[in-house]
This record gives sequence, structure tokens and C-alpha cells, in this order.
Amino acid sequence: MTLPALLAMTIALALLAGGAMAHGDKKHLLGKVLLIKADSLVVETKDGKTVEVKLSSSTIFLKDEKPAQLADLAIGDRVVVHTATKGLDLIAAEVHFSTPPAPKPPKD
Amino acid sequence: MRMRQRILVILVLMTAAAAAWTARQILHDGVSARATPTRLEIAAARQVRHLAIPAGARATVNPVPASAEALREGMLHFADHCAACHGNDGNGETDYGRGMFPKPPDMCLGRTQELSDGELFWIIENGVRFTGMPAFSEPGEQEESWKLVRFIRHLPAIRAEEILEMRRGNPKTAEERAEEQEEEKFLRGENPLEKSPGSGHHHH
Repeated sequence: MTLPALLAMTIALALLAGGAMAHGDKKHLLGKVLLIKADSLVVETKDGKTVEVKLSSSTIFLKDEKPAQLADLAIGDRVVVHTATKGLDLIAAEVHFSTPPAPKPPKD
Repeated sequence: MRMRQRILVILVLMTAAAAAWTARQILHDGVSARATPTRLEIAAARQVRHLAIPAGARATVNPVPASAEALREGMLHFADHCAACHGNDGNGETDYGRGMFPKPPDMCLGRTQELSDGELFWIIENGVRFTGMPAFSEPGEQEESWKLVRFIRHLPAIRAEEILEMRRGNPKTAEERAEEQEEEKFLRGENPLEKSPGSGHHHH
């Protein structure tokens, strides 16, 4: 194998490795808020599991897509949490939330 | 004569040790981009970059006056072209950024903010060899790069509303757009909690 061919193969392999990394370890959690702590949220996901997500100083809170704060979040709110994994912890990058719609009146 | 021979032997041994160390590093890490550059590599690369930027370019003053419009244009341009690696907030904590060697810098910090406007412009226009930073120079589009410089200066004070606007300007795959729509429906209460399958799902 010639040196240019070897170099080209090495570069191609390096590019392929970069593409695989791009998939990353991000998750979007959809559910409702079960518990609010100063540094974490507990979310009941759509399939009934409970997941704790750590909050950080750079976590962004958005209520109805407008900037909000942790204090605006209430138990029972619907949330979509964009997370990244750090060690064994799930860290919240963005917490999107909305107040659950009012229950429909019973039909006669 | 003996002294010269001793010096020669020492030089040969030092060269062999350096070659062995380099070979060990290559064999150990291969060509993986997952590694983090050593302090020596970082310092050497920064010095080389500094020397590579012509003094005249370093001293160039941003010809685009500071204005809300220029800042916004720079921000949307950044969201479309730069954020995939640098992140909307410029901290480099992105899937692509984490997979690069060297990693993109946190642009809010001094090592980027201490560069002159001219240096930032030069880097945008010419890229940096042996890194993931491409050259974006296009004839007649220098003003766009200067607006990016305006935005990079603003990064340490970026607000949540701006991040939101940038997110709308980030390139998205069809899968990401579909996922975003599903999440919006869920937040509006159109997608009942009980009926949807699965919980958290992978972003990609």
C-alpha cells in the first residue's frame, strides 16, 4: 500500500469515527413532574417510569416556549426535558413545560 | 574526543527516547479524536496560530458598527453555520465538539475573548489547520464574518430568549423536526400521557 493511500484510509477512518460520535448520548424525556428539588427534578415518564434529572446553573427553563425559572414549575406540569449524560447522572440542558389542560366537563 | 562521543551518545539516546515516547503515544491513542491535547500541545498550537496570523490582520478594527441588527444577523448566522460544533451558547459542548481533536474552545472564556477582533475575523475567514475549524472565506461575504465577530463578543452575555431564537435557526434533520413537533403537541396536551408508547427516547 502506498503512503498516500494509507493516509487517505486513515483520514477516512477518522471521519467515520467522528460521524459515529455525532449520535451522542442525548435523550428527551417526556412526562409529568412528580417532585421538584433545588438541584433535581423527578419526572414520571410516559411509560410510568420515574427518572431523576439533575439541574445545573446552565439549565434553561421554558414555559410555553418563553423563558421561565425553576420556581415557575409545578408538580403535575407536563415537561419535555432535554438531557445529556454525565457519568451516571442525567443532566437537564433544557426543561420545557406547560400547565396541564383543564379537565373537560363530564358529558351528559 | 571522548567528550564529543559522550555528547553524541547522549543526543542519540535522547532522540531514541523521544521517538519511543511518540510511538507509544501513537500506539496508545491511535488516531482517535477522543483524546484531549496535552498542555504542551495546546500552548504550542496557540503560539503557532498566533504567529500565523499576520500582524496587520490582528490589528484590523471591525468595520461593522455595533448595532442590534448586526448582532442579530451574526447570531442567526452563527446558529446556522457554527452552532453544530460550538453550541448556541459557544461553550463547545456539542456532539461534534466533544468528538473533535482539539475540542472547540469555550468561546465565552478569556482565551477566545482576549483575541482581537482582527484575530477572530482571520480565524473565521481562514480556519485553523489540523483542527475542525474550516475556512469560511467567500468573496464579498467579509461583512458576514465581521458580524459573527460582533456576536462572539456578545456570547458571554447571551440570554435565554436569544438561545431560543437560535434553536429555531439551527439546521435540523427531518427526524429532529418530527420529534420537535411531537414534543410541542405533548406540551399542548394533545398527546395524552397514558396512550403514547415509550418514555424518554434517544435524540437521534
